[in-house]
Amino acid sequence: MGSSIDQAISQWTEHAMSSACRYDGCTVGDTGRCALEQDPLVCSYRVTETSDNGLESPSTPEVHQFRSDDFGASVLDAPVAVPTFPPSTTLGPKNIAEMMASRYVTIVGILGDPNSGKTAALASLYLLISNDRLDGYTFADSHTLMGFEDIARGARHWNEGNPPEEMTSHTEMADERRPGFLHLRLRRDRDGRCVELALPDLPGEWTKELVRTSNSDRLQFLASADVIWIVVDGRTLNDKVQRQGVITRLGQLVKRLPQLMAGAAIPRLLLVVTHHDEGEVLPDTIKRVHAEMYKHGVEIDVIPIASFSDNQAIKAGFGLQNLISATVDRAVPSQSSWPSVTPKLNGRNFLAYRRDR
Amino acid sequence: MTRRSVILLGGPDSGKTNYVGRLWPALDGGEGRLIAAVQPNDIGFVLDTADHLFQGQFAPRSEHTEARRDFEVVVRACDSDSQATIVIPDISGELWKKAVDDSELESDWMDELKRADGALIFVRINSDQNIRPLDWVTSKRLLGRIGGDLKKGTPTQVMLCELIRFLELSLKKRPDGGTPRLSVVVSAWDLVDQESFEKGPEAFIAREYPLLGGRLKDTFLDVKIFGLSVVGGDLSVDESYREAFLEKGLDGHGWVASYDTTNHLWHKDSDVTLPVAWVVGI
Repeated sequence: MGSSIDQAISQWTEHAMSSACRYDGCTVGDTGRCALEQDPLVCSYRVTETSDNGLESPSTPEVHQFRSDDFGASVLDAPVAVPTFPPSTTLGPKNIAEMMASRYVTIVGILGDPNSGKTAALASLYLLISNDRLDGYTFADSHTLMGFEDIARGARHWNEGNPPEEMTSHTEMADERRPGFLHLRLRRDRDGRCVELALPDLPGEWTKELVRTSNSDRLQFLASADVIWIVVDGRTLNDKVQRQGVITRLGQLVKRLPQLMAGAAIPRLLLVVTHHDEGEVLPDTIKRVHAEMYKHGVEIDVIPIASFSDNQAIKAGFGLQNLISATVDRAVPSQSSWPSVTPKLNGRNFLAYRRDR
Repeated sequence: MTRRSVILLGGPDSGKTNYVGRLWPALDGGEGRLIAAVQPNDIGFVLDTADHLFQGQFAPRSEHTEARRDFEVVVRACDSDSQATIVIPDISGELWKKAVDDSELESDWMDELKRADGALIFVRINSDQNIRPLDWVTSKRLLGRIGGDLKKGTPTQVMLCELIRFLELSLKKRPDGGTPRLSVVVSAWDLVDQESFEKGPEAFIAREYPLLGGRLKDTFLDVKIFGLSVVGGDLSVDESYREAFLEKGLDGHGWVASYDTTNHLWHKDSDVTLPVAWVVGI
């Protein structure tokens, strides 16, 4: 085996050399025999061709340092590892859990069919913040700033028809869009307090699958969500042909939610109606949505938005400030501290005040 | 005596190199908060840069410079004997831009960043290298994959926020145990009108770079903001100023806008060493 390799090397080196020899009358190129009876590989009269500028001595390291030991060795040197910073693209549930150990983070669940406008809403929210147009809030920090930038730029797309199956488990490199959380810390102008949001960026197919086949494992994080946005394309609610199906599917979607909650109560639901710039959803349709939700024992607040707009009367980003306020402001029903009631005779109203409530 | 590395960050054309070129004459002049204690062995780089200013022009952008150029000088405070060796590596804006785009930084720069306990971050007014944030029209085109300028690159404010994140991850505590310091320097501050000057560079940042403005209020780094004019005027367009500058020389030209906490006003200070002096803190 070794000798055949040596022979191959010998042939290769012979081939690599030209027939040229500076010794007058030497025919080493044709006969393989050196006129001075020296080893052709080391003869100082022998020359080889270089690729660009003519002639070179045969004692080039390229030829003579090639040994049979080199077979099987790496062809290329290992690339030098360049130190990296953790990328700010996407966070996994573990990253969010670590963050929550030190401060309160409002986890938002975002559900909605493909093309309902989930990504556009996130992109528009980012554009509002980066252009300082989100009334009532200013940017404080984001651990996924480049992720937002990529989303607003459309630089990463779901693999159409075959989106990723699982949530990212940790911060991913930027070369692929993986389902995960986007993080945003906003400072509320009215009280200077910071609110922190974890907003998942998920393929619409996951919602579709949840409704159709109850495939819910990868959406388990919804059990810890503070609020769930159900995103629906407002144009489909305005379309008589599609309306009924859309409302029914919304109903079926909320009916799936209890199985995700691991026994906990369903968090607040916000119905985010997109494409408001192309027409306001009729009050009757909204009533039908509420009625459908009521059938399944849930209440939902409806928030129309227009992430982008071609309508002069409605600015791009319409409704997103309402959406953020509704998300972070706890909707606690206000109670009158001392309501007016008709006194009952001998009712001991003062003592029974709390018990009655 | 401790070796203190001070990092200069900023995108291309943000004013870093011109500042380094102006800093050496200021340290050497001995009239600022920081004074050069001894003449450094190697001042070739700063002299080359200062030469441009001496000739009445700004130094060209340095992003195509391949060799690493450091300015190392022993400085002392004007009012005490405490000294420190400061090393100011001149890192091209392109390198920082690449670091943000790829989250990668060559190992010797990464090491330098980890050795440092303070930094200056530069942003320049009216730079043609400034990249505005995305707007809805462009984003819609990009999202709909119907064209749009994808090559335009990461907006300046996003890049600066990412650089602050890198500093938070890398900078070490100061020798006295304090948090690392960051001077934010808005260069070409002589170009703003009186009203903007009075509102200060902080208000300018909040208006022009809202993400950066918010981020600076939400970092554990100790931040101070300055306006900077390396020669006190615009040598590239204001010919009469340039003539006067060439007549009188560099001394006395250039100033820093700093915030006076006693009267709550922004004022010009002829000491251009202030942004570095504050970071070094001796």
